[in-house]
Amino acid sequence: MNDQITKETPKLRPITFLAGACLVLLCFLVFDVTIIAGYKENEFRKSSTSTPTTFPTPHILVQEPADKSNAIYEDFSSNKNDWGLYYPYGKLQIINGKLILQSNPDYPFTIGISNKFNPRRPKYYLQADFSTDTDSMSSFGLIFAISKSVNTFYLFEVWPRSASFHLMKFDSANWDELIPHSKAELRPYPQPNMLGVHFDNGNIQLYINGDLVSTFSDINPLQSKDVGIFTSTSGYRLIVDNFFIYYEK
Amino acid sequence: MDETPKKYFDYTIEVFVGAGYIFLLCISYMLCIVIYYLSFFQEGPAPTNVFAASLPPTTPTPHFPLGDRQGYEKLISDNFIDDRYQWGYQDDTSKTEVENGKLLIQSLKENTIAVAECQLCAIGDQSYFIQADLSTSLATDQGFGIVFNRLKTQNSFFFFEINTEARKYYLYHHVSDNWSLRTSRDSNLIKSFPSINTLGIFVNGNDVELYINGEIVDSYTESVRSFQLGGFGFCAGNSGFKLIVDNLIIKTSGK
Repeated sequence: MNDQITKETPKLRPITFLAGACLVLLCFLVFDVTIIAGYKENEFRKSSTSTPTTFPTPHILVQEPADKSNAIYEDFSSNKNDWGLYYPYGKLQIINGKLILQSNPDYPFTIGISNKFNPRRPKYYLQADFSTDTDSMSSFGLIFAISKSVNTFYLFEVWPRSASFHLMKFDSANWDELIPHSKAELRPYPQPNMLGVHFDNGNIQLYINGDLVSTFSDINPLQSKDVGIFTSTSGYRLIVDNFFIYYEK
Repeated sequence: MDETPKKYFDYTIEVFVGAGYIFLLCISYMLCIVIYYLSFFQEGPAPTNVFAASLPPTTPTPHFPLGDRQGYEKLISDNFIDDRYQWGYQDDTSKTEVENGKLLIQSLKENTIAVAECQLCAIGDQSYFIQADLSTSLATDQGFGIVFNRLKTQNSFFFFEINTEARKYYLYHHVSDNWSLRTSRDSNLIKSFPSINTLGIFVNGNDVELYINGEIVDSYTESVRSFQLGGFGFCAGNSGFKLIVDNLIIKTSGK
């Protein structure tokens, strides 16, 4: 008995074509999704590199003064308030509506101070926008309760890179850390950070970008009223804008 | 008994066609990945502060051609043979003399500056360069230098000062009784007593460049302000010595 094996003529079945068509459609789908996802990511990246100019103005003060007539504003359109250096090293300029402060390499820090722009009462709030010209690891901050005659002041210092801050008190030659290094949400370079301080006879409230980040009560408060800005090292230029002060009776 | 013949299916072609489809799929995926990486996954430019691009360079660049000085004409050259430009200042705490080919300035009151202003140096409202040789009669730890942008009505001026003992320079703004320091730095270019230091300033709109012994040491910009306005002169920062000035040269752009 012989087994009879029949060989069928090979032919492509419709299911093969259908599977192939599905694969091709899948290819197009993946291609489209890839392109769209790429565009979306690209747009997101572009929007995330915002600059200080995107910050909305005018600002709304974190703490509105009870009497708005006591609020004063420095837009740095000119140096009408006679901003200069507190210590004899560094450089301070008013350029294109901003204050530019920089330190010298040979000296530890630089402070900019105004002869005219200061609160005229012991209870006050001050606020300004800070950014830098380069992405620096260094710190900057607000100085308040400055006494030129006895060389004392408070320093609210922030490090945007490490998202931290502290509060220092300088008494002639001694630094005292009132609030130790703490974490806070600070915007990365090149975005500006808005720093604010409310001072009420030694009761100090610190604000970063509108949020209260810490408070401190100094039992031996400094009473002077001059205010200023601070750069810790050389290698970058501090850019300051929208300096507000209001004071309460 | 007849047996149904066994069917033998040959899938060779379908296997090849299927493999072709899968190969096509792989190629498409690879193409997608390549396009994605080349088009979108590249590192974007590093974020920059757009405003900072409008700032002057951190290293000052001289805009006054110290070498050939083309385009600038000499307006005034004073070797102080006589007092033809009428140097002086209206106060009783300073003394100004033109003597032996030098301009001598002295403060007569402790902790008070002495300014000698050029009364007849009409520069007008144009960019200019001032240069002079300055020295002191005695070794002193007090400063001296050039006064410019002096506006009598506002009682204000800028003072480019050097201290030869500290070997530092300063740029002050003075208005009424207030002093405001704008820039200060150490400089090895400053020579100590009894050497002569050649100081220069180039004033152009709201920019001023500071020169010591022929080299630019700093520049300063202040929006809105025009440094070209007002008078100029020389200043001794305190009493106890005479400031000696010689070889004054003023060049202007003629614009």
